[in-house]
Formats: sequence, C-alpha cells, structure tokens
Amino acid sequence: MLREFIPDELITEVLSFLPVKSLMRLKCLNKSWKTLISDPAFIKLHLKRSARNKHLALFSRIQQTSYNFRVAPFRLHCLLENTSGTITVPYFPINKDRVSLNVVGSCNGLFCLVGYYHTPTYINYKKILFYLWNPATRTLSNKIKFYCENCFKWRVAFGYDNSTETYKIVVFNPESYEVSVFNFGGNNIWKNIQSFPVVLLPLDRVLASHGYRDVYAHVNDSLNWLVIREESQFVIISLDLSSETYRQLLPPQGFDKVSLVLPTLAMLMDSLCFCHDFNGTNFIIWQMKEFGVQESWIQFLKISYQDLPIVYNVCSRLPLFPLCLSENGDTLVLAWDRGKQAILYNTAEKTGYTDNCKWYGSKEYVESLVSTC
Amino acid sequence: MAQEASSSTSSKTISLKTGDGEIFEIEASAAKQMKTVQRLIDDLGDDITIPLHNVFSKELPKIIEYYKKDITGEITKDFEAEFVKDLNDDEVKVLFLAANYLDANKLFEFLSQNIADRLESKSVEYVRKYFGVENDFTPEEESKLREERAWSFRGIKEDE
Repeated sequence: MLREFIPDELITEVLSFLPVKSLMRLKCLNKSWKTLISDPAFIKLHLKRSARNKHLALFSRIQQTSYNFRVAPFRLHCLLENTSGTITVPYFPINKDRVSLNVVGSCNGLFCLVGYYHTPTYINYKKILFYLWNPATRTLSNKIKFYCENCFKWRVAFGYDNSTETYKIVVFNPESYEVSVFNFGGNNIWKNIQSFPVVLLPLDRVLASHGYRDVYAHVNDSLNWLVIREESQFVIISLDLSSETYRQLLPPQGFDKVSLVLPTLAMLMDSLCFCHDFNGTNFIIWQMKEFGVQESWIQFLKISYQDLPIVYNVCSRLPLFPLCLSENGDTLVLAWDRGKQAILYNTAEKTGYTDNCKWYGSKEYVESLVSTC
Repeated sequence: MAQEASSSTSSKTISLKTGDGEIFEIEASAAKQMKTVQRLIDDLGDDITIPLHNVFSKELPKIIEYYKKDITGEITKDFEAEFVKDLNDDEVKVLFLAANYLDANKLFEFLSQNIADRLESKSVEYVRKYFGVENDFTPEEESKLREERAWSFRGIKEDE
C-alpha cells in the first residue's frame, strides 16, 4: 500500500464524514485518534456534517408491558426509497430503574427520556426521572431526578441553548405555572425560573386527553408552546433558552376559525410552523420565516386530506404532526394517530404513502457523538 | 469583474505543468476553482505555464475532468459515482492529497466523503495502514477498548 504521509487536519476531515459506529471502533486505533474522536471540537464538526443527513427515529415497544423499547433511526432518504417491505429494527435496550420511559425530545443526536416514578413505600412521594441517551454511541447519562407532587401533571420539554452550549430540560406545572430548568453539564441542579405567563391551558388538557403529551416546538434557541387565552384566542408562548424569559407570539392572521381539530406547532427547516385543519378538507402549514416577526408568517403548504393514504376523520380530533422535511423540500414526513404512523407526503406530486409498521412515536433525529456525561 | 471581461477570460486557457514535466490545459474559469492555481496565476500572470510541483500527470487530468464538469454545472450524483468507480483506495488518496494541495474545495470535500465511505466498514488495522499511523496502545489496553465497544465491531472483517 502507498505509504504516504497524511497530515492530521486531513485525517480529521475524512473522519468527520464517517458514521458514529465506525468512529467508535476507530477509537481503538491509537491514543491520539481516541482523543480526537472524543474532542468537543471534533464532535461539533461531525455534527455539522451529520446534520445534512436527516434521520427519522421511530420508537416501538418490545412488548406492551415491557419497560424496554427500541428506536430505529432511519436515514430519511432510505425511508423514502424503501416504500415496501419490513424495516428491521435494531434493539437498543433501556433497562434502568424499571420505569416506563417516553421520549421528550431529540436534539443533536441526544434523546431526552422521561419516566414517572412512584416508590412503593412512600405512596405520595413522587419524582420524575430523566435520562439523556445517545443511541448512536450507546451511552446513557446518569439519571436526573425532579421531585414534585402529582408529577404526572407536569409538562416536560428538552432543548439546546447555542449561546452557552448546554442542553436544558424544562419542566412546568400547568396549574401553578411554576417552571424549573436543568442545565445538563452545568452545575446539575434544578433552578426555578420565571413562571409561565398566566394563561389558560385547556388546549394542553384536551391534547393530553387524546394521548398527546408535551407538545412543543424547539426552534433554534427557544421552546414554544401553543396555548389558548380567553375569547378562544390562540397564543404562542416562547421561552428563550439563553435568557430564560418568555415572549408571546401570535399565529398567522389568516387563521381565526377554531375547528374540531386542534392546531399544533412544529419545527421545519429551522423555522416555527403553525399547522391547522381547514374546513375539514385540508391541512395547512404556515411558516414563520423570521422568528418573532408577526408579518413573516407565510402559508407554506396546503395538503388535501384526500391526497393522504389514510382515512382522515376530523371528528376524531387527532391532529397531524409534521416531523421533518427532506433537504430538497420534496418530501414531508407527518406523524399521525399519536405518532403511530408515519406518512410520507410528496409536495411536488401531492401524493402520500405510509409504511404500515406500528410505531408509537417518531421524532426527527441526527446521528452524533455528543457525550452523555 | 465586468461581464465582458469574464466572458473573455472564460474562453482563455491556462497551461499547467506537473511535477513530472507534463503540460495540461485548463479553462481559466475552472482554474479559478483551485485556489492554489489562482494564487499562482495572480503572482505569475496567466500567460506563462503554471508549475505544480506536487501534482503529477497521473492525477491532474482527472482533476481537470472534474472541474470541467463543475463549470458547466453538470456535477450530479451519477457523475460523482462514475468518477470514483474505477479508482482503488490508493488512487483516491493521491487525488485527495492533490485536491488539498490545489485548494480545490469542492473536489476535496467530495473525496473526503468518498474515502470515508470506503473506510466505513474496514478493519482498524486497514485504516492504520491506509493513513500510515502507528498503534501506541499496549495489547491489554487495545483489547479492553475493543471489549468496551464490541457492538461496533460486529460485521467487520478483521483481516482486511
């Protein structure tokens, strides 16, 4: 073999294009490679490359009563090409504490998992358990505990603050409006921040009654929730993760009809999106081109329910959730029926199809080396 | 640059001389994509033959072929696949180093991805040889590391 010397910067370039599994293996190559692959600057570069290959993570339980579930990350373009046939699901066991876990959110390759814990001895004593999990490197963080009363009522969210480069877990009580934030990798304590602006949240309860919990949109450095004020007016509460303060945004002006189906928020192409049913015939997605600027709402997509490969019954009140858009804008992935089905909609041809696997959730995902400690 | 001036330079060709003395022609607009070449043109003028000491007659035609397609906007996934199809791992490495020397960013990134694709399922030993790097772990250290991430070794042919 040609023994030609390759300088370190060039090796780094090549390595930044490798998938995580290969890089985990190459940590055994020699000491400097092990250091390089674990270096935060390299992890950042790798993440930048990896973000160009969008994945969709689909979750399913091993069995109904199991505490373990598996996650299948699919390269989006593979999902698009693989229209038929079964998708093999790699099994990533999460077996800690025998708590039933759900996915709060996904950011830079990390999943935030949540479980509600009830100790058998102290019946009233409850806590919420969180873990940060990187399925690509197969590492799990230590558990993060949040003690509270009636912990099932608390809402949870997960986001990343670019300014301090920290991952944050946010919990809030929809009755007392108390909000607490955990900075992962910081001083590892829960900190109370400014309370949630006092507005009614029946929206949240309606969604919860349909099995949707913790619906929020993580857009750039903010977490956004859709709430309803008096006089049935919808408002978006946006929490800025770096300043930990709130602002209120309004949905697009064209939207004023309250339909049977609740509107939702989504994040597509790094923008906040507002999605709603129109007349029981169409699903409309608006995009806020410039975050925070009311006038920048544009109608991005109008999908006729007839073009979707599902029997969409507005009386069921289940919203459709846009999950992600392919790089070239051709394909939109939507979750339906509490995320149990993923629908792939071709924006150019206006047709949709679905894989018939039974999943219970799906989120946009990017493969990364980000550390869980 | 004014439209008239750029249309006159786009039809102009630059002469490049490889390290082993061969001369190749390239359109000025393609040469512009290779920052090292453009710097030499800026220093030496575009009328003389530009010397490229570290690039040889085996690689340069291939690089010129890539940029010829680039200036007409014809680089597609199919073209790129075809471009590297018949190259072995060493030939790609030589091209990669040449692209780096020439500061030809687009080709360099494409080849980085291609080398990564080739190495994705190769053994650790193959990768060591490919980059010419030595193993400084003791056998005990290495086997412990391998054990810790045994899952990442599944499906990899160790003797390759």
